[in-house]
Amino acid sequence: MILAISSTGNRLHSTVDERFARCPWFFIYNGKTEAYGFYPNNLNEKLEGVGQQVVQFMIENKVQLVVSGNFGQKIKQELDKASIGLVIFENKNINMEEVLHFFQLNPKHKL
Amino acid sequence: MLFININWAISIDIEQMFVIFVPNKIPFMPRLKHFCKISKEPAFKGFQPFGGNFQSESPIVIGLEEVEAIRRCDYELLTQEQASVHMGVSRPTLTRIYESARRKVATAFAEGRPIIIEGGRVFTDTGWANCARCGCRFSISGNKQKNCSLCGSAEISVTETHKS
Repeated sequence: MILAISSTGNRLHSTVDERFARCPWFFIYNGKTEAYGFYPNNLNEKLEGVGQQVVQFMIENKVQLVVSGNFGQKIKQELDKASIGLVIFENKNINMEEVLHFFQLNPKHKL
Repeated sequence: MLFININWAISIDIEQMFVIFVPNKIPFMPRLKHFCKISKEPAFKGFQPFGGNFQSESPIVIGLEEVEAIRRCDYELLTQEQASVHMGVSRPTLTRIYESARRKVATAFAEGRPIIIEGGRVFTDTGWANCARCGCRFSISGNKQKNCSLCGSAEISVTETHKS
């Protein structure tokens, strides 16, 4: 399973961003190969239609689970249509390593 | 100087004692319709009559919330009161949606016109659950999910469910 997290920075101790489509970086982790990468979000300064393009980016990268601090109503609908699971962390201080630790606890994600 | 912001703005200048009527140019836009909650989008885009040359007939466009109202009231046989709770709107609003839907379907049947399902102010009904182990809130796509989608823990508490 491939996981995407909205991140405030490009390091593993960066915290989860409260926004999803307008976050500065996306952290993408592949549970099968254990490879990960930080992708800069070039769309975050656009005025309109950011959500749809970000969801398209997620579909192209075969992401099945997304983690963020919050999701807007429009992007929630788009992600529901693409059958991508949503996870919200209301704790603002949680970082990439901690989320990854929880993700790796589930053996199904390595398939 | 006194300004009153109604249809006409009145400005009173105390020194000159003139009363000037200025038309207020702020447009009055109608209230936006509420979003209705639907369980899922239908897998098809409409209906087509057969057995004649109906291709040239102009189609009737029916919204997703109208399809949901017919499904709740006539297929699941809920009362309008119950259906309105499921769709997250008031009972009179649901009655208006249902009435409009029935009229559109009746027109299509009577005049042999195709029906196209599109549009409408809707959002899909996703349930939410909390996980006790990782402390996250996650979406559940069906009532069958028993584990946290992030850590896989079974210690979950469902906060908002599918009401169907």
